[in-house]
Amino acid sequence: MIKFISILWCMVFLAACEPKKSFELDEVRRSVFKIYVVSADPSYVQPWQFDNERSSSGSGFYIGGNRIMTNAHVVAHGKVIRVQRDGDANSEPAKVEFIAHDADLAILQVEPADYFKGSKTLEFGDFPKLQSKVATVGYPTGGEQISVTQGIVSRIGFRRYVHSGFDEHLLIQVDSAINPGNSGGPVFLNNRVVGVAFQANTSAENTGYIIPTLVVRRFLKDIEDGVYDGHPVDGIIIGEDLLSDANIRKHYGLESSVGVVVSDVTEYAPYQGLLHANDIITHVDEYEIGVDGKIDFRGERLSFKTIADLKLKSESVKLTVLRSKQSLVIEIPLMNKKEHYYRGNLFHNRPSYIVYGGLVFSLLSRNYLEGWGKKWYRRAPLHLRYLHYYGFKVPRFQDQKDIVVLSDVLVDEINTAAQSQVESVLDQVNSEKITSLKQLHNILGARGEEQVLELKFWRSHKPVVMDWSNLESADPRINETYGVDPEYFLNEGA
Amino acid sequence: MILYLIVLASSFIIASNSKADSIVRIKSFVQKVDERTPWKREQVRTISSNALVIDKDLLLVSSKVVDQSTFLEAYLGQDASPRTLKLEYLDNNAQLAILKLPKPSDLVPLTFAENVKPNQRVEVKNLRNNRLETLKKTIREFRTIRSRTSFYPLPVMVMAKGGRSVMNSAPIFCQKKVCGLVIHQNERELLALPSPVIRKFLNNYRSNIKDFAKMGIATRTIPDSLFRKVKLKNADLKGLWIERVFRHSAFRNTLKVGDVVTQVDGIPIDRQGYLEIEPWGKLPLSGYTWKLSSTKPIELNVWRDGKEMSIKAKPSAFEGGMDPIPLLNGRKRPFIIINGIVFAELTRNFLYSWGAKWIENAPMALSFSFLYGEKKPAVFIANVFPRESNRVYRAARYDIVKRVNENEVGNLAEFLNQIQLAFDQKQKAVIDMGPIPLEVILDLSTIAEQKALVSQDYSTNPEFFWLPN
Repeated sequence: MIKFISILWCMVFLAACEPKKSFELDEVRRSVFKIYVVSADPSYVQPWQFDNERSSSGSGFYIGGNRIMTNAHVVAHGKVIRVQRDGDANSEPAKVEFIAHDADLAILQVEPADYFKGSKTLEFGDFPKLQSKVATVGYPTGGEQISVTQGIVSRIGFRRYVHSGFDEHLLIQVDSAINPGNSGGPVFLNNRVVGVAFQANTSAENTGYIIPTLVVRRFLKDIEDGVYDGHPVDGIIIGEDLLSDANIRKHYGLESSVGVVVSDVTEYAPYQGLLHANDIITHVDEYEIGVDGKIDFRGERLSFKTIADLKLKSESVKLTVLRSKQSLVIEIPLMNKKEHYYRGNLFHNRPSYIVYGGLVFSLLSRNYLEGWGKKWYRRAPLHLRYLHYYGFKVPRFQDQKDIVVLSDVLVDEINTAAQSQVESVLDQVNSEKITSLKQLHNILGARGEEQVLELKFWRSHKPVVMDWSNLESADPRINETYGVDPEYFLNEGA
Repeated sequence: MILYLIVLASSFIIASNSKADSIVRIKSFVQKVDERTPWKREQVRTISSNALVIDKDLLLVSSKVVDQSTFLEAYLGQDASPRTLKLEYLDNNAQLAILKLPKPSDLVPLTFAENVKPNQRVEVKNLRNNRLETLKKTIREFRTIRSRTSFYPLPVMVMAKGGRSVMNSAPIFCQKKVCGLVIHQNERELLALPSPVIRKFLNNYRSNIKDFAKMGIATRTIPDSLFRKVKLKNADLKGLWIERVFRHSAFRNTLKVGDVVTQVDGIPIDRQGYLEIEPWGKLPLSGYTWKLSSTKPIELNVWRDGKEMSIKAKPSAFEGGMDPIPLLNGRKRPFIIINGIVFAELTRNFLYSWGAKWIENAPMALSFSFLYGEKKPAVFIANVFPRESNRVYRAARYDIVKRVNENEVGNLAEFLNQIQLAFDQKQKAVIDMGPIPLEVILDLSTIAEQKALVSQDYSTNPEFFWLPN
């Protein structure tokens, strides 16, 4: 009876029963694509090899100019990429034109140019407000057809992007599930794209995250010159919440509750030399920074780091700083001061490595540490974990981008002396301090008349002494035995 | 078949009362320090153990049984009630302790065998539920082990466990004399101290000294011939390469990193770093170290710069508590509370409290400081009792103190000196933390007030708080 009354009520007041649509699917569905990818990740354990290839799919949308936007993680290490428009029977090959791993965004190009005939260029909207109704469109697992999920903007924050595992940017939390396959799909508010679906919180129900258009637009601006430079490096260490304490404010001679204390500035940061420890940053551009380290940004309280993060490296940020109780305005160009060790995931086509006489030298990286499994941050060797997290404060390595590790020894009678040092960090070769894999490669390739190769490892007193000519002559044999090819690979800058 | 099994089992477990008046059961009530919050104690737990009668009123047990014990009692024969014991003497390096009965008893003291050797048939006596059982075993081999409570390697004799656990401190008999004492067991093996180690311990007790000395060196083997040829100028050299000479070592002024020890007291060291120790067989250097005494010099033959030389020194005896990052056992943990922030000196006990996989689970900066650091003490923030005045420093828990008012501090005493200095000069104490830099600013002008508030709010003993002199 109750059911009957409900149906009747709905028939009479039809409009009241239909959920209010935030967009018209028919207007946009020919601009949404399913992306098929066959990828092969490089192996960081045996870096001359790739892991087994795997198939996956994601979503993308047309942004004009023969370009489809999607997530970087959808197409990372893609060997075959094909796109299929909603309603089409066929898929077309696509190639990655730009990829921003730090922001988890990518742009695909599809030939021929008339492929997009019938697709409408989707327009970007503004920053949605909390409680806005949004629709996530894409091709999540569980079916072949396009899927629309309604959700509500539940939070706006500045948090870590999972794809890099390290970089923090602006993101929007929605209360609809973002499932595998949704990644890269557009999120609409009134038929305008207000975000790109990209990650979910699997430990909570219906918690998805989207990349806001502020970040997307920044990416599009960054690639205007044909090169993606990436987000500015942060590198300021802030004493969180310190100035919420009246005594600490008094210590710094502050009368009002504003600003954050600078605890340290890393060697490579754009701020190096311009910002000092114990400076108090009170404003970033025109935004006042609260003691919580946040600013009022478009109606939300967000990290003050948002402002610099949304700029290009060619731009600058203006910081108002209290130093020794004097107020200064410092204009800081956002270019890095120097190259540095990167704590996020790397997405090189293959990792840098050298195999020489069966000695496998690799670079310390998060990818390398992930070889110890999901809980690598506990299970990887302590000294490697420590250098990964705190190497920027270890004098021996704080200026280095590369930290060279003897990652393996392909056992042979000529290299047994080095086996005890597997997983050790290379410090010196024949008394020369090793600062990069390229430098090591140059040293190993220039033996001359020298007979002995002496390797010293960090925090180990006993050097490893090897017969250099034996290593050199055994190299082809060992490589053949273990299927090493090529015997080295150096990524640009390595 | 069942009958056969019963007969077989009874051949291994022979009820025997011949030693019943020389082996007693004790209970140790242990209340360990909660290492992560050392101002607290863990729940009391009871450890049962065998104890060997060594005199009318003295019992011998493994030291781990009585480590951090609050109360000890012994069950003698058919006594209706247990007798209270007192900890008489403990040497963590020897992993042994002596307990004293309030008055002499009718117990019969055991005698100890001169020595024991591999392949020897022995009997493990195990007092369980007032019944003394005998397990027949064979000494498989000798090796050295370190204990979590001593960090001092000792030689042990190894026997197959055979699926049957034995009590702590179960004695091993070679005919009628004690030739060993079980100090450790794993799934497959029983590990027992051999009688010469026990005899040395007992002699030390009688002389009222602690004399399990240490050499204070870290060594590496030199199996690689090219290393020997190039770095040591002697391709045939056998011995141990000196990797580190610790600051407390008797050899700190005479041995250098890169020296090679070729002989110890005339016993040559082989290429694998082993010494032939009669009658136990080949053991690493640590299998000889226990013999060292602070009263008798040890002679090392050392290869340095292409020449052999002799170095003599009297090694010193000290327990893990004297190491820069100490192993404190029952001793008081060094910590102090200032303005609700608990500053503690890093101990191995703290690191070990994170479990068998402490290297994975303990705070990384602290584990690193112990294993790869400068071998010096470290002061860290162990906890923050949150109050309005310190709540912002909660995130600094397990960070290491680097400096106070720009002066480096290496231990808790130096730390407190700097705090006192700041107080005397009516300054704040600005504490630089690491490895991620952070300044902790302590306003010392309200120290007494803070002490009262924290002590009351968190029911913490006022003695744990720092107050200026």
